[in-house]
Amino acid sequence: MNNKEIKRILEAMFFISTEPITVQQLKDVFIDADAGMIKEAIVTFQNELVEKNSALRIEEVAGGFQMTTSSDVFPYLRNFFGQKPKQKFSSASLETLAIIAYRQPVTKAEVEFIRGVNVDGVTTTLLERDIIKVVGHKEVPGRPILYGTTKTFLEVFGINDLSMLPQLKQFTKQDIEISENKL
Amino acid sequence: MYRVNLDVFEGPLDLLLFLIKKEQIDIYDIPIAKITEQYLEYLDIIKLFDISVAGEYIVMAATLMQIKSRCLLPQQQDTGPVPENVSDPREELVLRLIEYKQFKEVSITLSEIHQKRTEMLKRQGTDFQVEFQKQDKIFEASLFDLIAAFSRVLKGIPKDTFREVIKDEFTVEEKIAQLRQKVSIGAEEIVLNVLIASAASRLEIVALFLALLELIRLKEIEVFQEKAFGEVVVKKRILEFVSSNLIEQVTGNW
Repeated sequence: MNNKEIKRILEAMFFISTEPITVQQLKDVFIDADAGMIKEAIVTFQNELVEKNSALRIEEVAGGFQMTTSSDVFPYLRNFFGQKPKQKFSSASLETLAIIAYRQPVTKAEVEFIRGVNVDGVTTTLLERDIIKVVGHKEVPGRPILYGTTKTFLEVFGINDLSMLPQLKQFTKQDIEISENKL
Repeated sequence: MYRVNLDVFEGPLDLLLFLIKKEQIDIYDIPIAKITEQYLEYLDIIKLFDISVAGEYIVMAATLMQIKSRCLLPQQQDTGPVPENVSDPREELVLRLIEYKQFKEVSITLSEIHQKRTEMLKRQGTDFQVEFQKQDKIFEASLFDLIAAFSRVLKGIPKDTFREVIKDEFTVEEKIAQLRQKVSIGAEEIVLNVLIASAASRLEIVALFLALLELIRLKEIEVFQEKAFGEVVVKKRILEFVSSNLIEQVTGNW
């Protein structure tokens, strides 16, 4: 099967799939194609959409690829489909989530030390929303629970893998003095 | 008069950062007496509004005062051979503030990323896809999932203020028999929510749920979910032989 044919079938798959599709999954479908060929076909399709200024995009997310709408058409979609109940994060949960994402696996006590406040409520909410999960126990007295982020977290934030998280800023003296804090 | 919006501060460290910024203080050279004084002033206001929040703020106040007193004490001199490790008492606090600030900043970035992401919509699912997935994308629901589904249903029941007290109308035994019948006749699988919705009272739901747990324990039925937090589906377990004696024994206890 050549690149063109693979690309054509991929188009149908992306159109149907609600979940990100991984190269590994595709290898089971295109038996005579290797990972390189599949990846190439995806990239070709991805570029094609961009070149013809399509309202659809192929996004690399949570270790796979997914068809999404381009963000510039969002206002129209919103007007047409109505405002979705937004999955908003409070600043308390974002701070907590940030610490868990960068420091995982991490205990609640460690998060609380950094934030300086109790994080019981926020972690419960994040757990319920499947943004974080229990990844084990720390081998210290009391064996406290260790938390980490989930695949849902990657999907919700459109991050391919944890190494793609934005860099933590290294602060210099000036940064702190001139920083525009959003207070 | 002061007006303080408590939601503005995410905790004592946040308040400290705010004060440092407001007073245009160098974070590496915090005038500890001044900042402590200001911090306590804010704390008084916070206390007026919300005592429970103040707990964490008070710990920080104590820390600040401790640092302040250590700064006031004269540095050790002549006592040791080398005055090594004369550390600044403020150092630990500064490190914590900087670490917290890092995460605060990055959480704002994450929020922006999330905002952008919500503007890129993905497919909402189609009927034919659901059909495809039914066969392979199933995994066993855990007890936690079951209880979560159960509590969702319980939440949905309208609360009657007045209710007739019914004397043990439903027994677990009876429900086990019913359930067994339901899974064996025709219907391959039953959605837990539908099953529970058919019950008339809270009591009946509880009996039903206990019956369900019992049948799972006896390995007569299995429960599945198509996806995390999805509908819980109840199914007869195949290829398992269950001694009827055992069931007699167990159900007899109810």
